[in-house]
Amino acid sequence: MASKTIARPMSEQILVASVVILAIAWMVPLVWIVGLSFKNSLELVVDPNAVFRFPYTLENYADLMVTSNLGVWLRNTLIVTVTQTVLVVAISCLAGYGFARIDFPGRNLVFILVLMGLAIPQHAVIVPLHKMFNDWQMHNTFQALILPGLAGPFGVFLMTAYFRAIPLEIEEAAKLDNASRFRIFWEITLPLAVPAMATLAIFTFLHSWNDYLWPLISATRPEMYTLTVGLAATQTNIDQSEGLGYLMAQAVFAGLPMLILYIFFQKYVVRAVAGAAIR
Amino acid sequence: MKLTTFVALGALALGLAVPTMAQAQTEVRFARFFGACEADFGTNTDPGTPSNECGVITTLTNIFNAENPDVRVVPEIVEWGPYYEQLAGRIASGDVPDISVMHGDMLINFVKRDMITPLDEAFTEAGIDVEDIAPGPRENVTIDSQIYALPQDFVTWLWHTNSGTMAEAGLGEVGAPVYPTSIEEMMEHARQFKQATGLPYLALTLDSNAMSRTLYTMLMQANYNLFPESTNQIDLHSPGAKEAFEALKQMKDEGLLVLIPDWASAFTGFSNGEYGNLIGGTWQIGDMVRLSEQTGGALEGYVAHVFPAINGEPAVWSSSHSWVMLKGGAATPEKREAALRFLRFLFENNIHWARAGHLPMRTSLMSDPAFTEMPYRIGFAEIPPIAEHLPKDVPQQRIIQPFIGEELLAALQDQKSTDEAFAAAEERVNTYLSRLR
Repeated sequence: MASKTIARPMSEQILVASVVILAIAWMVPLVWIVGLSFKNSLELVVDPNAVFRFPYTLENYADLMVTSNLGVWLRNTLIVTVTQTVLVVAISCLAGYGFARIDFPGRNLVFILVLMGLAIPQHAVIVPLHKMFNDWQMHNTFQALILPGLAGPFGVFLMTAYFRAIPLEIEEAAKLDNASRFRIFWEITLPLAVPAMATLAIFTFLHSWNDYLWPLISATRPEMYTLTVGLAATQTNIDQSEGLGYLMAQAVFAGLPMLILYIFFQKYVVRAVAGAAIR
Repeated sequence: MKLTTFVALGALALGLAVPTMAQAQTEVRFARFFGACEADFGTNTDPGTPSNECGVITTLTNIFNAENPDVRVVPEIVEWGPYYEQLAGRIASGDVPDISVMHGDMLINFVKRDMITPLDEAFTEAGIDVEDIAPGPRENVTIDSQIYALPQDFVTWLWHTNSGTMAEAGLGEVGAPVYPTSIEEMMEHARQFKQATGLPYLALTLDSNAMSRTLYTMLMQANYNLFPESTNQIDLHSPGAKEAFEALKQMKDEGLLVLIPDWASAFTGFSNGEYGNLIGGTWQIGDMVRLSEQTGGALEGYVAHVFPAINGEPAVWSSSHSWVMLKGGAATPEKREAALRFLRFLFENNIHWARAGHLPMRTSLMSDPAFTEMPYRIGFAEIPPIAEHLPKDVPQQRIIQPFIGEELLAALQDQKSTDEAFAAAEERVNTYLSRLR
């Protein structure tokens, strides 16, 4: 039997074509960055279009590898990012469950106070934050790099909304079986919240990985730099008038973990961006 | 004893010994920008090899560390943009480096807050001859009769010239271009150049700092006082300021001056012979020389020339890099001695810094063939007496400089009139300065 191809409606075809065009437009700069990273910097100064022709080289990546602290910066970034992500998710889940399920005095007021944190930008609190960690003599430590990022009102808001959306009946059945509050949370509610946790983890990981300002002023010793601060310091020329290939190799290197993260958690990233996690 | 136990104990002993050996060295924490270039110069100890700031300072540090086994200078590198923000953060948190680089025009901001140690006695102690420091840079780091920094150079503004295309237009020979001595002559040269080559005579990047430095230079040549009443109030009202700027605008309108979006594009265009002259700074000479020598082609006749005296007497905007010892740093006698030894080393090896393009700051080096015979530079020996900086008491010069440049570039691109641009620049600068505590 001959297979029949069902024609897509015109509107859908236009939509697909538009998405393809947008995807290409989005991809071109990324491909360009990767291409430039494999070119000799001096060749690019004379002719930026040299990216389209041979020879290509690995010298920019080799140069990056001999930057002595690169491994240390990568390790620092991973420690900070992973710790921050795990702790933010944990704290947000506990706080979110509390706000969603436990009726304690002043709950609404505290929740409003937490939400107000969403309106305060990082820059507004950077001076008192710096002073506070200075008083505690904690600059140039992992604690200083990690702790400020744990105050995440977005995570609390997200998890509260998600837990509220889970029907109470599911927990009530467990209550009848004399399950403790924590057991209900741990064994019943939390597994249902995995999509929201994944969303929160991805956002936190991205934010933490790309954070620049706080590590810049708190981690002032090169051995405590994170990748963003360390790679920026390796810029070899104030005007960035040359060294384009090296700069692009840095960009690729710094972005690579993000790409890997996306490949493994693509489903959750798409959901997160679409806001599906709180539905 | 089993072999594995023996090896393990040996490794443990080595592990314990290495830090012990390292502790015998006095560590000097050296905060700087200039970038990191370990890939090219991480182990280099030949001062003749590098030709940019990063390469030279990395090599000098390597040499010092090799020659002084009891001291280890550890560079702590931050990118240019947020360098001072981070430095302020470090001071606030008590994590003070032993030696820090500082632009001459930033010094006053730190001295006013009592953050920098005066170095007069330290220089005597270290055997640094302050009389050999050129008057300009020395005056720039002297506040209330005390020297607060060791200057490293003269940083000045200039024209990068493609003398090959200039020669094509009859403006001198390859390697010896002819420069204008007035605005009218500059217009004549530019038109002659355009007619002969079809190319713009002059290129200026859309970098607000480049615009400001160009304006400063032209005003300094006219002996114009930007701060006539107080160092907290700029005056851009004089017709002289506008006339100088209008000349550039006219050149742009006639296609004699081209605006380039960024420095990377400017270098590309210049190395491809797309204009005769590029307005830039001494720190770019090393990179230009490398481009010229390694790519050849259209940039074979590269020369760097002090900004021509087109608006009056010879004068050029200038700044400097300097080394300071912040209060709270070099806290032990050993560290202080080691830090001063490194400062003396930088002073003694000042000539190598000139390879990057800047002028050395030691008077004794100005007539030294090692400097005067450096290739591609024209008229550099004449720069020290004509190099001028803004009054050193003007605070936050690095912040107000872009205000002026942004407004004037808007006018140069016909986004506002010259009058509006000057008025806006003046208002932004004065509003900012008036709010400073």
